[in-house]
Amino acid sequence: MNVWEPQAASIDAARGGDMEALERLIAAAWPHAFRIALSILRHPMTAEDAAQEACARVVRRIADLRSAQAFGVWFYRLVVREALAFERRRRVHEPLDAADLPSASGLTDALVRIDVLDALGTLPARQRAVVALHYYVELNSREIAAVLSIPEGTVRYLLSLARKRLEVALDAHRPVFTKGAASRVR
Amino acid sequence: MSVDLRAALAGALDVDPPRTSFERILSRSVRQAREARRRSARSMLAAATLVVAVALFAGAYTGVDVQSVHVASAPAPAPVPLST
Repeated sequence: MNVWEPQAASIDAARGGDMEALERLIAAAWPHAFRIALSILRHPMTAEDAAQEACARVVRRIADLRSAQAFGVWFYRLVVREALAFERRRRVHEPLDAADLPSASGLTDALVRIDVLDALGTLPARQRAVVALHYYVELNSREIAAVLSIPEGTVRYLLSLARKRLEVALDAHRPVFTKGAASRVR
Repeated sequence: MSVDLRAALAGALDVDPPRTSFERILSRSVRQAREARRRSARSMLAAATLVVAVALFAGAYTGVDVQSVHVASAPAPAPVPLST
């Protein structure tokens, strides 16, 4: 949750109705919202839509937030809920294209990204959310449990299931994903 | 050697997020608020309709019931004495 500490002043001001502070907060939150939604939805355009809906909810409800410290859990909950709602409504899963994942790095990295997102696609949506919150946002089981409103034991169980399935799915790309070769996908 | 999931996922999500404007998010939040108001009005209307329907049904049922009980349990009129 430390990622939100520098935003504490903006969060407090936004809660009080300061629109400029709210704009700064949304600008800081947007990349997180998009990437979490992408890890759950695995398609950039749908992820963008879900992330925008989640940010719009932040705008609409920020005044109800009880404190700046509660922002992290609250924000991640809004993003995950929105992404899961989009996932439930979605009927067709279009295959990913390297051009869909704009990045400063090259085409090879984009293809590796597609492999990881495809591997994530082998997991149920809720497990994807747990994986994203643990490995990308770096929340612990207690924090993930608070975000998803589920028991901490369930988080650990889902994480262990997801880890096993992802390791099998990524096994084909072992040279790229094994420890020590991390820089190749960064 | 185990798969480094943290690095793999961090790498996979290391994409440039698309540009978005605050105005677009604001307009979405206005639309969400409008939809929430509409949903709330619809559910209040549905609740009011239900209350009215229950009241009408209960009233009608009670009326029929009371009347039928009243009629059924009404004492038979005494026979008129014959005048001689």
